[in-house]
Amino acid sequence: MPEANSNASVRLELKHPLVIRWMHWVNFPVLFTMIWSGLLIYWNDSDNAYQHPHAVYRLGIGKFTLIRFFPEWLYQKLHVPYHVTQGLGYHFFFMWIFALNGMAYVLYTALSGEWRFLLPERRSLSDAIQVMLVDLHLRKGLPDQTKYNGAQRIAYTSVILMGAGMLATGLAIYKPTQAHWLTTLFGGYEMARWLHFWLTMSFLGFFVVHVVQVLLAGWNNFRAMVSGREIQPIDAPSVEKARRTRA
Amino acid sequence: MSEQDKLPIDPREDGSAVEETPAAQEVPAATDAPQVTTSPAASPADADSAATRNEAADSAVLEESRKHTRRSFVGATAAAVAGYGFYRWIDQSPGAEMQPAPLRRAFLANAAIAQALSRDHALAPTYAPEEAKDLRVNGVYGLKKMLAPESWRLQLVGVRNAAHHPRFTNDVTAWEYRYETVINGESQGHDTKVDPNARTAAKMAPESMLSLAGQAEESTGRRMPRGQEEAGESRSTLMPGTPGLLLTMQDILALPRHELVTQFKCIEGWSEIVHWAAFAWPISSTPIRPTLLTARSQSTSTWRHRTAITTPATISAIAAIRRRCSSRK
Repeated sequence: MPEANSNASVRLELKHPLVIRWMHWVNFPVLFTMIWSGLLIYWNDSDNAYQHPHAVYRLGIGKFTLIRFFPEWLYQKLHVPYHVTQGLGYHFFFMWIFALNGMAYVLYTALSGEWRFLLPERRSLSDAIQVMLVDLHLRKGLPDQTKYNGAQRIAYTSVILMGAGMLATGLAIYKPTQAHWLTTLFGGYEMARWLHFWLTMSFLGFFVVHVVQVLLAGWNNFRAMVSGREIQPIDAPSVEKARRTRA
Repeated sequence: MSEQDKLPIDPREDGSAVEETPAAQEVPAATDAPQVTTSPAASPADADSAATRNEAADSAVLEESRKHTRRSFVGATAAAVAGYGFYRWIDQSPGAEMQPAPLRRAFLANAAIAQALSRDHALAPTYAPEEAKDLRVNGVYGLKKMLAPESWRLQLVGVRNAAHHPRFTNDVTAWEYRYETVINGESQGHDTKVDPNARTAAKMAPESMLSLAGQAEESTGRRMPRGQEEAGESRSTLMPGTPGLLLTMQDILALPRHELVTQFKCIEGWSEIVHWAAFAWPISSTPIRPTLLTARSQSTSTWRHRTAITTPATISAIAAIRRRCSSRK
């Protein structure tokens, strides 16, 4: 369609296939629900007036604790206290949507060839460093890219691995007897909880960076995640062309 | 990755071009076209006509883009509304045992899947007794009144030939537990979520829970003993008139004793290694399944403290523990 318009200085490119857009946006409320319901469950042990000696959810070394997660005012603000049943109910329902959506994404990405845009390449690490320096206004000149740059490739692949880690550690906590081999693999029940918690914190960290980057990248980029199409200068490397030549 | 290795095509590189186009979309040709046409180094004479040609072509592309944008945002809005509707459906569904029905069904489905996969054969890891700690006191819900120890009974139902047992009774649910009045009105234990130095009132369940329990009492017209309003009815709650045994603590202590050190995992997320002792009822014949409260309309039932341990699943669990213990010797 846009290719035919040889005189145009811009073209419309299908950046994100419909399936990927759906799976991306399904994750948004589902992951929100998982984190929120997780917080409702987690409050039971974290907000503990008696400070029972678990060493899981804190920043500190040995006996020294800098912060315990999370402060009382945060729980009060979010109406977290005494909602464990609600939290468990939602957590063990939405985990299915999260798991199935994630597995469908991996399957689709593998079979459609979209993984070529996603997985880090040999040059991705140095590209990512360059992208980061440009973002911090320390250097100029973004490296060449088609759909994603090196930093995006690394970040988006990591977040898929983190999702898989959430499922695996979650299963290790959920069924520590039946899946005892998995729980043991993670270093036991306490460690599985530790990993589950810190993976969640990493997800939150990812969101912050992701949202800031989307805001900085602007409307054209954001809209592509909804409509799929991005307006590109005619001589920019083409995602559609890359898709055709590799497939 | 990219096969055409033209380095920065335009004064800005291709990455940041993405950031510029949104403005171009609103005011199409004016900003974008002239900028890009400069890079393929057109001769100054052609520049004007090229610019107008590009302007028309560009607005065609942008029109196409707007069409997709409109369509997809309408779809996205519909999906968001449907998603919210889905949440409302869950949240507003009538409850089953303290959970909205869809979430309750998910619990049951999860349990069925887990059982189908593991067939209940998996055994928890065991530990050395030295690793065990005293199980921590977590809260006092259901324990605001102290049970008189001599009035404690274990209701054991589903036992074959129970009628021949000296502790047989025609209705185990009719047993009246006695409670001791707490003289000083102080809490008998503590809720770990509340400051140990807080006043008694502050150690009670939060306002929202008490008022919900109050509403439940209003709507069903039955008063639940303290503790049960949080716990809800149990799947093993017995029908009035269920025959069975009422065992005293001495009866139980006389049974074969089995010990096991496993990790206790609380749904709250914490865990502790605990040294357990259990008394297994000798299984000489297949148990019979008692009639449970859930088998008929719950509104006609009365609420009492009950303990029932003998569904067939529990017996097989005890049997599994026994197997495990004997195999280690």
